[in-house]
Amino acid sequence: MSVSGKIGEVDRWIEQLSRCEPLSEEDVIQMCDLAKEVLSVESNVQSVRCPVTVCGDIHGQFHDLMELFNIGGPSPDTNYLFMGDYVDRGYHSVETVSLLIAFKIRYPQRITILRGNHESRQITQVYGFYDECLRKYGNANVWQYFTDLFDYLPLTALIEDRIFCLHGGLSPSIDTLDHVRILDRVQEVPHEGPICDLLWSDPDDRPGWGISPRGAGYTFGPDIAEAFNHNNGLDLIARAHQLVMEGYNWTTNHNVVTIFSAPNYCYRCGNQAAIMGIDDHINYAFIQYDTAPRKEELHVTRRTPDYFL
Amino acid sequence: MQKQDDFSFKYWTIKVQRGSILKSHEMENLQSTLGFPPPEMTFGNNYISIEYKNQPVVGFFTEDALKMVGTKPEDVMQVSFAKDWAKSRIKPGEEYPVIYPFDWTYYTDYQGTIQRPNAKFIEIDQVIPVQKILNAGQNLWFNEIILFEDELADNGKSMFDVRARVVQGHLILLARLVVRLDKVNVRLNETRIYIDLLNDFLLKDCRKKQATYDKIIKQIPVGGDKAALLDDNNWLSERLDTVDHKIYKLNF
Repeated sequence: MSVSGKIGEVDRWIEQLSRCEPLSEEDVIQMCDLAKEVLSVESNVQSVRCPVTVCGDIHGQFHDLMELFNIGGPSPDTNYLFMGDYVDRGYHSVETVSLLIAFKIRYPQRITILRGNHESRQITQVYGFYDECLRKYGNANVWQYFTDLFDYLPLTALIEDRIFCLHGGLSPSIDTLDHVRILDRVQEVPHEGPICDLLWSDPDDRPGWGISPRGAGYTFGPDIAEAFNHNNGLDLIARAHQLVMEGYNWTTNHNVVTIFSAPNYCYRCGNQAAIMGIDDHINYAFIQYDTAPRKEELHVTRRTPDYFL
Repeated sequence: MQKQDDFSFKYWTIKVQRGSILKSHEMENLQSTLGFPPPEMTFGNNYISIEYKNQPVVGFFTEDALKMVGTKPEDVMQVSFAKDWAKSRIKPGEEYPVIYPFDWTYYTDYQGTIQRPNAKFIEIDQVIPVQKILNAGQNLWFNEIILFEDELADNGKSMFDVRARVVQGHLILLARLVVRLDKVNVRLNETRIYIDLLNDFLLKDCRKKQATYDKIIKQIPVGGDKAALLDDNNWLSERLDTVDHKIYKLNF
């Protein structure tokens, strides 16, 4: 099976998904097979050209993803780089991740989708995607197909050799981009090691490497980021993974920026979302936007009478 | 963008303020105050306060709740897989410090803030008259706020919320902290405030509940939506063991 003979089919999927209608189980299976072909040839450090718009966590907030395309421009007119966490938490993980995968198959050079820590079997069983698949398809097959596909998502991207993009952050096991390139990524997100770190670690104001008090996971200080950028000829690390009220947030010395693209996260935080537009000359600018609430989501924030005792 | 709401009856008033999570610079300021990073969803400007004759008596405030989070080494919880993680990472000559050793699950014994200088809670036997509240009919007023919430880096959930409602003649408030550390345990603190609106005192009922994670998992019915149930604070509350229960009266 190849993508070229399926363009009409993929266009039909995109049209259906844009209305927030999930694909049939058969279509999902076919789509995941096609996507595997496309993703398996991509590098762990996928090269991306400018102009491109960089986006953070989406978390199943489908209507806010539509708002993102309103603000940033439709795909494929605008090139996009998404840094993971498409599923869990929100109501429409299935439609959200399906649409991004369909775009990836249809316009592989115009959209890049990286892996986030939620694109994993283990996490999706706890935080909603697994249950949403069961609810919408009546069985776990679709979840199985999606999570098998997630193993193929690239871990990082490199924009014009200058801006390094990934979901979480740096790893003490990785000094150079070549260290990332040689990782064998096609596997479930492990509990430890460099792949885990790239999807999980956080920047921190304290210098050096730190271990989170929860007993797993690293933090990296401004000095670590500066050395990594210097050694690899980079201007900037762009990452997602953490909620920030303004939608984006710089570390103290501007070596790392966090981008979060799920406005009013979990339909209750009231935060703005942001995307980072990078032009042909590698100048970047942030665009902030608010949530676009829909009827079915309003009931969460609306006060419901409650007869607790 | 803060929204206010209040309800008054005779001498009593309940006030609520709710808004979004804190902005980045407010988070930095709060982190300086606390000495550790605040929860990722810190609704720092939310509060509920109860007044008598226009003077605040007792309230629930985010910062006060977070100030009681543990920072002693014995307070620091670890994720279920911490030992494996540490074992796999130890390389000769490579030892990294633990940043901000504090209870990152944000467990807190906070039972509200007394806002009258001479007011004191005294332990008593009197119970909240549940049947009277049930008989009083529908809510005349209801509100709810979240003080803070954290996803514990996808290792569970920590959430402190406060709900309050007024029925004819009575006010009841339920402040609840739920800390679910996946594959470890679930801990819950419930503080209820009850006021007979014709009286000039209030009752406070405080319960601590807990159970191991395994014990909770075993109570999920076959075919039950595991993620939804583990996220349902009411469901969890009914399935935990009460390990401490005290009732107080506040005279002021």
